[in-house]
Amino acid sequence: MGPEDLGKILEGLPLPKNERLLVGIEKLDDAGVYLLREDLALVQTVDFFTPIVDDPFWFGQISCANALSDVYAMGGEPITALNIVCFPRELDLSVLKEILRGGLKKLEEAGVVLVGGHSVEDPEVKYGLSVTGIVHPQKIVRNQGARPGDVLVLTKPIGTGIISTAIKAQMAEERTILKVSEVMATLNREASQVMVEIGVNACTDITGFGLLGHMCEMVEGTQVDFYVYSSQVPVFEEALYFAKIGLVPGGAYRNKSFRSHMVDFYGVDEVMRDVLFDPQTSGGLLMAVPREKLSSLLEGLKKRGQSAWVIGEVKEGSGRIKVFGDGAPLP
Amino acid sequence: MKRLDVRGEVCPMPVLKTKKAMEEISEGEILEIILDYPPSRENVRRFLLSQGHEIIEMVEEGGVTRIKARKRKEAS
Repeated sequence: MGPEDLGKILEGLPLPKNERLLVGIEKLDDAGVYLLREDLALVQTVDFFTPIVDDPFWFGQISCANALSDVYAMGGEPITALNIVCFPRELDLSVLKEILRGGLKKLEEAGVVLVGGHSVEDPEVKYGLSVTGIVHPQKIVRNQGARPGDVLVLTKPIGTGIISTAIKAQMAEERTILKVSEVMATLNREASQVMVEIGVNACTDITGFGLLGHMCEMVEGTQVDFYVYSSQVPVFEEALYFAKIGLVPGGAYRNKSFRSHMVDFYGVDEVMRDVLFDPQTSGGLLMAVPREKLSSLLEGLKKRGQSAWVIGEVKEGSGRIKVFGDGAPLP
Repeated sequence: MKRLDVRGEVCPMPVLKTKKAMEEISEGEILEIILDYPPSRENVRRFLLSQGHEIIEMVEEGGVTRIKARKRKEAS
């Protein structure tokens, strides 16, 4: 569901208040965190969705990497997981087996134990996981916390939602599908570990609300602005092409209309704006890192084979996102 | 004039069906597309323009959009 609808539904509901609930749903953070004891907290999250690629083994891997990502974004370590499956009666069970095999491959890579699952019959295939992790209560990395002077670092290119739409339209080439599948199936584990070692002020993973939508969550109600330099943002080039010919998912338009009032564009064309709001599946981590730690963060990520792009910076402000295109004058 | 009614369909189907319908008509011929999924309005418009087709008319009424587009003539 879009962020607007979600907000409407949660409004007025008797959401739990508990002193042990360190991170609840009110700030739309990546995962919930519950304090178990002074030096240990529980991180919990759930995510599942319909196939975004046709190959069931890749779909399983991508959905699993996506579900684990919320724990990594909080600086936590996932430990156990439960499968969630919706599957049609008329489809061959070997498809489901491949999906689950994909999920298990990623769980093994992550060192996470599958402890069970639940399946229901449904006309449409859906797969995902509920993931439980742990984190030291003093080391939780939240969405909000970016400070003036911080630098914004992103660890995966964007545009996967647009490319998924092109896949549905059967207009994406095999090599494009393979390329984005590999990126989406890449765990945010190593990036998260480096982030925790170095220490950053804020982090989120880029998923359904798009890069700018998640940035809005990071600045909403704070005293900072994010300055984003759109030419520095890594984008799958195919996504730009597909966006130009009208293969933008509905979610991108919803994200844009919900958050546009918080974003100022300077010299950024319509296509790039859509890409910046494109809902991502298993996107990268977006971190706000103190400038003096930037080089050690980038070095650490590089050593662990992780990509990273510096895409902007944090300044004093009023909770706005300012996006600058090529050659746009700075205000 | 050929007509394509994609009401009730969501992205990317309206674009995909517009593409197919455009391939099936002759150069200079007009296609009318009727759609009701808001994101598809911009997507179909963008598709038509990116392919060099001419949008003659685009009207929205009661959540339904009608687009009339003329298929481009191949450069000779």
